[in-house]
Amino acid sequence: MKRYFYNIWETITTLMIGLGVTFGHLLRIRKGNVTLQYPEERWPQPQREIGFNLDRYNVIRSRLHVDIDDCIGCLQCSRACPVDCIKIEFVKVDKGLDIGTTSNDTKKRLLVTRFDIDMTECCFCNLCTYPCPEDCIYMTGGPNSRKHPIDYEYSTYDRSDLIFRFSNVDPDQVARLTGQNELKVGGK
Amino acid sequence: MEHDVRKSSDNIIISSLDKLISWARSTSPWYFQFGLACCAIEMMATAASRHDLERIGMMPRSSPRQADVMIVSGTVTLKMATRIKRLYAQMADPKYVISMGSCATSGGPYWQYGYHVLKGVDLIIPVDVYIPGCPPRPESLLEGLLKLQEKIRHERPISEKLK
Repeated sequence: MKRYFYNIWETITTLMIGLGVTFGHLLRIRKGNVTLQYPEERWPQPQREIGFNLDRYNVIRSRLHVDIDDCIGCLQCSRACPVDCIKIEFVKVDKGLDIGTTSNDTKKRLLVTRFDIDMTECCFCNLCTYPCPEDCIYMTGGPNSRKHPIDYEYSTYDRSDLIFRFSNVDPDQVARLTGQNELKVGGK
Repeated sequence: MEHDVRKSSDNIIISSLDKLISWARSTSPWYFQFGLACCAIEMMATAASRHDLERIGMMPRSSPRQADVMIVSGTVTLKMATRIKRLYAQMADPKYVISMGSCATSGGPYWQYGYHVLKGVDLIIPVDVYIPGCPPRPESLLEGLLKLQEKIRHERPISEKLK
């Protein structure tokens, strides 16, 4: 009988000792623990330095972004892409028509009607960003955080939402700017 | 007597039970502990102490019978695809699938010439959340999991049963 109640007493006291340790940790929770409280704080994204001209060629792995107003449709990024996830189509405008200049003062001659980047196929190698003559395709954040804030958390409920369509040309504009008889369509 | 759907879902007992069940499901989505490729390394990093998965109630289970969430982390080869389908069939019913990384979502770098890779795990099992990245950072995975919790929280299991 005595043994029985002693067991109960021992259970309660040892339980209290164990819970006391847990409770002590609960009080010290913000002191020196390594866990990040995720939506409020994040681990900084490292920038990879690849060895030459570091100011310009610092790279970061995040979402690809295109400033479509600066794009001249030269297909360099599409050719550089090792997995062919950039799809570009363009039409040639008639001679003499002005469709504006880029921010580097290059005259645009092609109307980019389709600029799709499938981020589900992208392997984040940054190879498309180097050959761009107008610096209009880049990974967001890091060295480009001036142009676009970093964005690497964009999970979706639907797979087709991960295909980013950057072209802002509507069909009426294409019909107006190109001669109907000499419509030249190119692209990859 | 014909059953009125709107009446049953407006019932205070059923709607509060719905909320309770979906809350309970969303705060403890135990995930199935298996990895396929390099994304699994990021999943392990997410489960480790820096980005603690148990903060949001996720706990690895080694058996598909005890798991609620399957994180397809990595390249799904054609040989593994049959196994994944079987493992998914072995999971108990409120089950969710997360496609983590480019390879699981669409084949990734192998989407064009990969003769041995399934072009997207959604061809064989239904996927709830797609997480981009190659591999995704732990923050991206956590964001996807929070999105999945949001989805589970908006489910109304009893009302759908009564429909």
